[in-house]
Amino acid sequence: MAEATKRILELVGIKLERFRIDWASAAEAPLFVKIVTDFTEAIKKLGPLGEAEGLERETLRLRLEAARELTSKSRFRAAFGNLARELKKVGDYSPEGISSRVEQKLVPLIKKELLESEVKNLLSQGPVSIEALLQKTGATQDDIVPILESLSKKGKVEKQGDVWQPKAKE
Amino acid sequence: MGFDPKILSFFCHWCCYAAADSAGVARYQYPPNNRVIRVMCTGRIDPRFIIESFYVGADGVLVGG
Repeated sequence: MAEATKRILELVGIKLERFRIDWASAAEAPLFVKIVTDFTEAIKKLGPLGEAEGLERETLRLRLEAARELTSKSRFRAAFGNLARELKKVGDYSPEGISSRVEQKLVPLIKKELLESEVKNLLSQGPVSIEALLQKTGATQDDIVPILESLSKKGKVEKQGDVWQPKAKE
Repeated sequence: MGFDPKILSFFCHWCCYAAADSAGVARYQYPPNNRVIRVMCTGRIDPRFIIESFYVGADGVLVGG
C-alpha cells in the first residue's frame, strides 16, 4: 500500500517526505509525541504543498485530479488487488520484493493512466499545442504522442495544424 | 514562522490513537497541526485516501499504526 502510494506521489511530483507511515503502540505515548513533532517540523520546513516541489497551483491540481481519477479506476483497483494476492501467494514481504513487484506491475499502468487523464483534462479545456501539453504534464514526446493518437482514433480529438483540440460532436 | 501546516493523520484505533490519548492524559506537549481521522485498523487505508488528502489541501499526511 505504502509503496504504491509513494510511486503515485512521485509521479505526481509531490515530495515523499510529505507522506509518512509510522508505528507507535498504545503504551508508547512519548514515541508518538516524537513522531508527530518530527513530522510537523519536517512539513514546516517544506512549506505549503507545491512550494518545495516547485509546482504551480494549477499544475498541482491537474496532476492530483489525474491521480484521484487513477486510484478510483477499476483497472488500477484490479491491478492493485492482484498484486496484493500475488504477494500473499509468494509470501515475500521484504521491502525490495514489494518494491520490485510494484515497479513491474503497477508503475507502467500508473504512468499511462495519469498521463491519459491529464491530457484528456487539458484537452477538455480547449485546443492545446503539443508543446503546452508537454510542459504541463512534464512528460516526454514519446509518452504523449501514442495517447493523442489513440484518442484521435477513437474520434475524441483532432489535429489542426500544430494544436490538438476536442472534436466537435456532430 | 508564519506557516502553519495542515497535517492529516490516519490513526489506528488500537495503537496510535490510544497512544495519542495517553499522551494527552500524561500532558505531553505536541504540535496542534494534526487533524486526526480514526480508522479501526491501518490496513483499512487505501492509496486513494492519501491522494484525496493532498487533493483537498493537506500539506502532509501521517499514517500511524
